[in-house]
Amino acid sequence: MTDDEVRDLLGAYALDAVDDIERRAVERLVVQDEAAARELATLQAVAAELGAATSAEPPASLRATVLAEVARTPQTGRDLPAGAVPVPVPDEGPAVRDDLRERRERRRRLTRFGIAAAVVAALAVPGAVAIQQHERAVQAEIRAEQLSDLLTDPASVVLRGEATGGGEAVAVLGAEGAVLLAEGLPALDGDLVYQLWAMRDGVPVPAGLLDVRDGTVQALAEEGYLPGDGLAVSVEPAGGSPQPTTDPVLVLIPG
Amino acid sequence: MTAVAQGDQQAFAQLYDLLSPAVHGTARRVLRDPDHAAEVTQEVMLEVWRTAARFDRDRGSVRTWAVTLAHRRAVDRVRSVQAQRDRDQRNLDGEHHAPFDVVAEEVEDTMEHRRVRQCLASLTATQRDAVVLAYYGGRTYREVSEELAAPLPTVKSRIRDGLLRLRDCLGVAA
Repeated sequence: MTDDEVRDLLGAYALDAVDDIERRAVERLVVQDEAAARELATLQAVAAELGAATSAEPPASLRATVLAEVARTPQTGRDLPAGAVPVPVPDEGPAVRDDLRERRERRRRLTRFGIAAAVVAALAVPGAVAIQQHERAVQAEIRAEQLSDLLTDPASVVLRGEATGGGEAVAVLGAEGAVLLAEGLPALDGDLVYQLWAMRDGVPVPAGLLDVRDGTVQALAEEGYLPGDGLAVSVEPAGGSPQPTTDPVLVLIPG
Repeated sequence: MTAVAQGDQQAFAQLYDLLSPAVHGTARRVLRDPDHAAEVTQEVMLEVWRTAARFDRDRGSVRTWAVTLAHRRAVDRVRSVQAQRDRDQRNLDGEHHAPFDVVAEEVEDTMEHRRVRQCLASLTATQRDAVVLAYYGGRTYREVSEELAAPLPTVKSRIRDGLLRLRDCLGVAA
């Protein structure tokens, strides 16, 4: 099916009047096409009016049944508790030997990074829907199949968060790699770059520099990233750093 | 909804009271069976609870989300086990000869219901038939095309044009 053929199905899709193959085709289109996604949202809202117009009270006994089920049904994608991210503890020895100074300084930075990571992670909310908007918002630099492989893997985790200082991002964390999609990031001075980190047990591992254009980036983290890691972004001097030198502007860590 | 996403069961009870009539009515309209409709209502309300944190208000209202879930599940049920039997039964009922009436039966006479009825009445007869058969009848647009003896592209555009006209009439913003 061409995109135009799929676009013609938006109305039928909103009424659940398409077959499974067409359903998937529409869902693929709205991920890439902002206008199609907007039209579909409108058509679905209209369709829901048709449904809501038929309102009928369910059996009274159903309420207690559902509320009892709710009491023992865990929710998915709840906010992470701030303690979810292990934070390295700085050495508190009474005397600091010169040869330890650099190590301590690095640890201090890592600690601040870790604490900030915990705070920002608490704000990160997984969102399957959010990812669609961000995929649309960014240019197709990552190959479509890399993204769809990640997204269709049931083991993948999708996290969304806001960057300190502006911008929002979505991370798709998978078994084979991770993707970061961000938009609205503030422009940096020429001697600064955004650097990507894989966050492993509270410790950042370099995962490449981000090629942010007009505040937007989509990056595939292959090197440095291992399954189970989160992603973080910090602002670093041109060329990047072996360890972060500033607090992260963004941290997305799975629960 | 924010409270529900944070695990507040009391807030969910309120949300249940708010949403369940629309969810149940939608499922019942499509399934035409109170027991199946109650099962769908239970499934949908539990899904609302389970995935509340994923709800994205930028994409539409909570009610749109819940009703969309209900319709999808109801239609999936119709199409699985009892699909053929139900369709045969509906053909015997001759329901599609008067699709506009299906909206009226068994339904609380709410203001909302009257408004939707008035707006459905503002569609052309062919738009209305296509929209009503597909949505309330749970048919695919291919089935609609067969039943109305209209070409597929025509049915697709009648559905879309019909929905857009409804949008204007109902003042749906989304």
